[in-house]
Amino acid sequence: MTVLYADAGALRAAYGTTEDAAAWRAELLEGPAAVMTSELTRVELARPGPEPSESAAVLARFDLDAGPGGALVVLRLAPEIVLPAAAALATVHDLEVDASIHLATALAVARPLADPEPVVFVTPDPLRRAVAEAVGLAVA
Amino acid sequence: MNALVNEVLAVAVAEPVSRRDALRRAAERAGMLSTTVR
Repeated sequence: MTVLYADAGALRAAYGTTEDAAAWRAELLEGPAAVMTSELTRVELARPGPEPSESAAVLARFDLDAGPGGALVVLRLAPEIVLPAAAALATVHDLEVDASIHLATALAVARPLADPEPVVFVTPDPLRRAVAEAVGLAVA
Repeated sequence: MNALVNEVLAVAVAEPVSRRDALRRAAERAGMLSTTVR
């Protein structure tokens, strides 16, 4: 059984209308994998894109998937655990704050919960993928 | 024996959902499940 951690970029891709959205949806929302993300994701998805009505639809879909029986397990931001881990990552890697928080959540919260199964970090961002690999997470 | 086999098969078929639910329960027990997004 695969356990995935998806950042907001991955979920935005899954909820989007681009050519590859179906593949993202299949992996994250319609497949057999257990998928975790941070509650930070909802804040990121709330940011209006070029088409505000699309943002509202994305949030509504996320809320559905985060609810009972939904595809996502949404983790607390847990500042007492996540922020020190994010700060430690930021001192070593050139990461935006949100990237540090997602990677720290995957490492310090998702991984212990999934243990002994590995957590696969899912993101469309090549830099995040590289850092995830460097800190010992599997990537997709 | 048939009952046992059926039970094992039922667990195997239900695995994707049950693993997700198990993770959700583990997160809740650890105090790590979001209470702002549900």
